[in-house]
Amino acid sequence: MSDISVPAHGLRSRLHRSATDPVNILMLLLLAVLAYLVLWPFIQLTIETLTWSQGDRRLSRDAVPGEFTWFHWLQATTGPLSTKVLYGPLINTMITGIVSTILALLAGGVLAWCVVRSDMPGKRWLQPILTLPYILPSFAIALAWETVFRSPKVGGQPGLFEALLGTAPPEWLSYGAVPISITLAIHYFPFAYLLVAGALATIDSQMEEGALISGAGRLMILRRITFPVVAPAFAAAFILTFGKTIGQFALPFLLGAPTQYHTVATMVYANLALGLDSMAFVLAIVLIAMSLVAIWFSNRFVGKKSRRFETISGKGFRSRTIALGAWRWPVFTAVAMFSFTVGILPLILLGVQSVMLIDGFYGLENLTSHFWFGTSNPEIAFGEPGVLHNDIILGATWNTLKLAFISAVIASVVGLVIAYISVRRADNPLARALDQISFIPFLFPTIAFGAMYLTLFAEPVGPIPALYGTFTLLVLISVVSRLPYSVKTGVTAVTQIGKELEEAAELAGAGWGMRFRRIIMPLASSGVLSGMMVSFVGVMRELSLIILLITPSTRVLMTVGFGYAEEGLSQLSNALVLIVAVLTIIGELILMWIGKGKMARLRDKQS
Amino acid sequence: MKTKRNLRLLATTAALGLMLGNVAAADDAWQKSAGVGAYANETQDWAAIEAAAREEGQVVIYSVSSRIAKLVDGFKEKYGIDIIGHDMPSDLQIEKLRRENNAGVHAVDVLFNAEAALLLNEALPDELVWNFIPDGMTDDLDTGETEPFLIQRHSSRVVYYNTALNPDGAPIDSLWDLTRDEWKGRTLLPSPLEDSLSANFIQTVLHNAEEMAAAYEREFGEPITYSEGVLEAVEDNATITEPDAGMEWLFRFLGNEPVFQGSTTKIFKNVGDVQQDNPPLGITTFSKMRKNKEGIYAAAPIYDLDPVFGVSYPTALVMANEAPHPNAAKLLIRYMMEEDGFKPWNEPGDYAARSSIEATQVEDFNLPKFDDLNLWPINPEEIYFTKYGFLALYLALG
Repeated sequence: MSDISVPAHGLRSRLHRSATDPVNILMLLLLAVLAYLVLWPFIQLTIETLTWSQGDRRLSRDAVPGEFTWFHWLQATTGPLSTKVLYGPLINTMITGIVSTILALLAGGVLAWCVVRSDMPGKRWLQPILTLPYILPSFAIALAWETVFRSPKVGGQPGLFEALLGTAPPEWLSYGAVPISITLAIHYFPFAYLLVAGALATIDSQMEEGALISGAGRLMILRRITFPVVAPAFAAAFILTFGKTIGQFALPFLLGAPTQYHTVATMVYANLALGLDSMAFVLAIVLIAMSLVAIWFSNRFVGKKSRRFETISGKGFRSRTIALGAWRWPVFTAVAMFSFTVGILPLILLGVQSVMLIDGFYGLENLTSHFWFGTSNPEIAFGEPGVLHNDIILGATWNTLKLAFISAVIASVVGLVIAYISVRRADNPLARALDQISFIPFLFPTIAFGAMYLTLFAEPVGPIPALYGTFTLLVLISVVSRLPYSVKTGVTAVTQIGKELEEAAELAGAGWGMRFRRIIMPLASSGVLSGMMVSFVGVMRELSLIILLITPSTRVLMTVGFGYAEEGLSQLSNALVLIVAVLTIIGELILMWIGKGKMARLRDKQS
Repeated sequence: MKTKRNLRLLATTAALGLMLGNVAAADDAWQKSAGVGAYANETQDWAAIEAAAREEGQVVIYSVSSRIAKLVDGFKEKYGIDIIGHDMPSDLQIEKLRRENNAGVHAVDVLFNAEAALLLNEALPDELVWNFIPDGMTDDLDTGETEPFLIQRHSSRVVYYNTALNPDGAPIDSLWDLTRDEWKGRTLLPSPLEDSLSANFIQTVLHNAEEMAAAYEREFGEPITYSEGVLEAVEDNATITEPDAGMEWLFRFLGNEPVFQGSTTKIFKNVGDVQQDNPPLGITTFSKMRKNKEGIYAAAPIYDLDPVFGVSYPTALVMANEAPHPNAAKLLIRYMMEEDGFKPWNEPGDYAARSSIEATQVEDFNLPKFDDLNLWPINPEEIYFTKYGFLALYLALG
């Protein structure tokens, strides 16, 4: 089946060829599956915003449960509340979303360049640390911010800022747009860092050397070679970061709610908390629309220029770092200090809190290992034993690892396939649709997504078995919720792989499956592995997505941790967060080690 | 075999019935075996129930409190039955149950749930849950604690102050003090937009407008007058026609920049921390007083606050519709109402519904009786039906 060697003979053979082309078959198959797993829940969500629900009887006397209505949309867009519920938060969302995304892209890009392309010392240690902020739950970063910049009006001990400088920090530094943007950027810059680092790793030094010989300066090289090559990675990072920041609610709530600073996402959350689900869904659809616009812009940007950025070609490959000279140590110091502040310090704070008998009270006599190793003591924490002495936690740890690993692997492979289709068949509207559908789960309010999967898989429907209460269902929803990430990372990776490699293989008689396995997967592996790490971490930390689908036998660490946090047992929940962080780091190191071996072998073969 | 198929048929019919909004007929057999609904008043043969429960072997509970895990060993020892506990917020329990019911999945037996408004207005009328009252307890409980659903305990949200830095007693004596300049930016509470119990507190103040008006006069010595902002908000609001003292309080309170904090424990600590100069006040859970520590945290609730000490809300025990282990469910519900099964929740500030257990609590903790506290219980009906109006008002006044 070598389609390019045989010239096309009329419509019939073309039809026949496209019907038997494995890529087309795969595309249609994936479209059907995603339509059921993503589009159908999305349509249900939309329908719910257009239907009176049981609970709506309290909103309006006209409510007839089950009947069609524009009520929720009218309330959100033109009702007396619309400024407070929609338009005001929308502006705040745009501001914090754009500012934090720009900050994250800047930080991620600069750091990636230092780590991958420069001869900065200590890279091996800094590399994993730089992904730590994403591993920590976003609220941990918000809490750390509060520890430093807390305003005296919340009571308790003064913050670090006040303790050191003697004056209270200004309110705009404690709460509102500034701290939200900065902490969001800290939490999400690893996206940009991982994606850009993946792209930079594929730059052939020969391109730069060529430029140098032709007389280009360092800045010129950066501007004319390095930056264009990593542009698709920046575009992907832009979408992921922007999408995630506008969808994030825990952090804006912690740092915004004290002064009534609301974003659309916190409004979604507030409406859900008050049981006004339909209103929450209207706002969720607004969020989805916002990010679809962002995707559209970025697709245009990447799509038009992508051919120019192919860096992995059939020719030889060499990677050489750039000497920083006198700047070597200053750069190292700056990067190390930054990594320490955003990656290690919050972990230390959590760790210290988990060994304090009375939380928030600093002093040696207050230290205890009870919350880690202790057995049940009725005087402490309702007699809850330490986390390492607790059978439930051991079972939950195993479940968590299994779920995160399986989901991350499946999501990455499926994501790469979708990415391949949407890059290589960019002119096919169905391929573009596939790309866009795969992004929808990103902005679904996760709790609503979970609820819909409960309904979707509670009973067998045709050939689809009932999956309620099974581990499979958890894997399924985790994979779908991670697709947006894995597709975006996949697109970045595939865009850089020159077509001629595949064309050569095709001429040599390799079928599509063989080409995908032997060319695309290995060459994309560095980017895809980064994506796999992101997914691994994401699944480990996920709570609201799966809380409705969990049964006691499929318990995971975060649901146990949620129980502790709910009871105010912060030492135990901190200890659990730390366990999750440590497991994630181990998982990352394993993935990195696998990835290194693969890339190294590949390079050996090439040279 | 045949009964199994019949049961499945029954379950499917029940699910179908639910979707059509016609539920009454289908699950008669289950109601009989569970002793709820039409069979609620039949005498309970506890020996038979226990035998049947042992046969069932396990009981599944959705619990708003993770302390349910504390019951597992004792219950197993006493009855040989496994408790399969599942921590979940109250509203999600009902959401999950509704979806399971619609799909014909019946996996849970008991709900331990603090969302009185949803239980009363959705879960009970839609027959997602049933009220089961174990024999011999009615003397020990008020009527309001057995109908429409069985109540295990009462919790409250109250106002705390720092006792170490206010040795002469509470710095305020009225809720209206919270609207004074000297408390600007110095009241902590969980955001009502995030925490439904905090919303309940504010809503309950709004529902008691007359008492708020009287308290205003006592505090300021003149009848209440309404601010521009309140009058405007009323004009814009479709469901509210007249301003009242509750709204005026909320308007002034929000204008006084209260600080919203996520965790009730944190609020307690920030109020009670003895190493500060100017401690704030905090609206938080009554039972946080157990966290007081000599020389570290010192805080107490303001019992004689005018017009009210705080707002109380119940935690209910109900049986899930078509519970697969109805007898074990009955046994667990009874157990959690008894001294042994109540133990994990026995702490100062949370009151057992049963007066016999409460009497011990009052003695052990040296606290006033629950009925002697000047608490406003939430009105689940009002809370439910005014939720949207509240959101509108809250955002308009803020």
